[in-house]
Amino acid sequence: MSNANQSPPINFQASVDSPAPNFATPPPLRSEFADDQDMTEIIEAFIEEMPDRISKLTACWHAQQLDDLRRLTHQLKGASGGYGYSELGQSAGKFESTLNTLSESGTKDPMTGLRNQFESLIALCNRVRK
Amino acid sequence: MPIEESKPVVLIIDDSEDVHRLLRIRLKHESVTLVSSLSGKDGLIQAKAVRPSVILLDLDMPGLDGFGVLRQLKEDGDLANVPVIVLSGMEQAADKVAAFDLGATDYVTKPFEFAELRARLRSTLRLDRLLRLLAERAEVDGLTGLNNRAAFNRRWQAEVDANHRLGRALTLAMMDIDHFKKVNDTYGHPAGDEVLASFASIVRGQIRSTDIACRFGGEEIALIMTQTTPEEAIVVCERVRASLAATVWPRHPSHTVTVSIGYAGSHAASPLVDTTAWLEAADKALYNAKHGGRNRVVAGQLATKPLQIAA
Repeated sequence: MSNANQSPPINFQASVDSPAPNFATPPPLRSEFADDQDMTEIIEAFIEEMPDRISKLTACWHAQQLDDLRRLTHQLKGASGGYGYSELGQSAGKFESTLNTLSESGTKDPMTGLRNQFESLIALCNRVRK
Repeated sequence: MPIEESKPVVLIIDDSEDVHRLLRIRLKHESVTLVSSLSGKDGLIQAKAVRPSVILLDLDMPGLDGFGVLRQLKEDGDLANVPVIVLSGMEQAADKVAAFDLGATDYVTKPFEFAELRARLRSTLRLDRLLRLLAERAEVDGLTGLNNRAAFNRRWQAEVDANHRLGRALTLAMMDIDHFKKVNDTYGHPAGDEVLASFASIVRGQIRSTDIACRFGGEEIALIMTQTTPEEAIVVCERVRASLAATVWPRHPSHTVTVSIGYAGSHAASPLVDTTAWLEAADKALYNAKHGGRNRVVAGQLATKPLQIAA
């Protein structure tokens, strides 16, 4: 992110150093297409791949790779709706919009809202079940 | 060439493997063949290879994005008329306008409702099929069922270009029914039409699947023999000649109809011979066949243009 034409990097450090939040056990997130036999196999594949998605999202977050984070979030938004996880899709869409706004504004200051949104998104991902 | 009844090919260009996976499930009951591509660049290669009936195209892709793909599709003579349904998470009106201005046929916003996508796909395929039928009928001669003159011009240019560019062997034969005016004068024009239609049928029955038969005009048929040397072409021409000469006409069994054929071909690239010069060579050979006694096949010689030497 040293290119003069790019937006200045967001300082994630302050956010990353904060202690991890304490999540209560949330209910599982079920697919709206759970009863559709045609969808069974691919929904199961989506669930199996979810830890890998979470891992990639988190890695981008820690490495401050805004563009990669935005692309992964964009893909999660599209995929979630298709597999029947509307709530997850909406959360990803909201986070993507925030990332787009940050990117366009070129802000340097970390936003508490950004971290909260990211953690909410990851929490939803962890709740995905068939 | 009639429209094939095989399943139409739907090419999906999207960098998300989830989209491909979902569409394969959601479209599996449609009578289509799905081809997947994960990038704009590969999508264009696939489009050239499979000639899809419809393309489902994502806009937001790394590298060559959907807008870039649309531009390149429209610049490609073979792909410019392939309908494109854009599937995109971009909801801004400006993006939709840009996509339509670049030639997109329809636009579906992600996450899409699959029933709606299926309906739009079916509608696009129906329209595409009707347009192909229309194009086909615009290039078919009504009496003989062969390609018409407009189709000949287009196909002949394409094959000569391929000869120049790729060095593919190519031979053109011009076939003209002997004494056709006499057939019309003696038996009437309906009989003349019947002879023409029968001759066209004989030609269709004797040529290979790679040959392109066209009604050039009146009682003349042009036969484009792609990837065919003059030595191979004479075999095809002779088959046509012999078959017509052997035909017994039920209402006039004592009458024989024959054809004169002139052909000109090349084994390799003939860059100095353009479409007109090549046609003239075949025509000259036909003239020689007529004046040599008719009912025969005569080879012509491709002449190259004389070198222009600067003063």
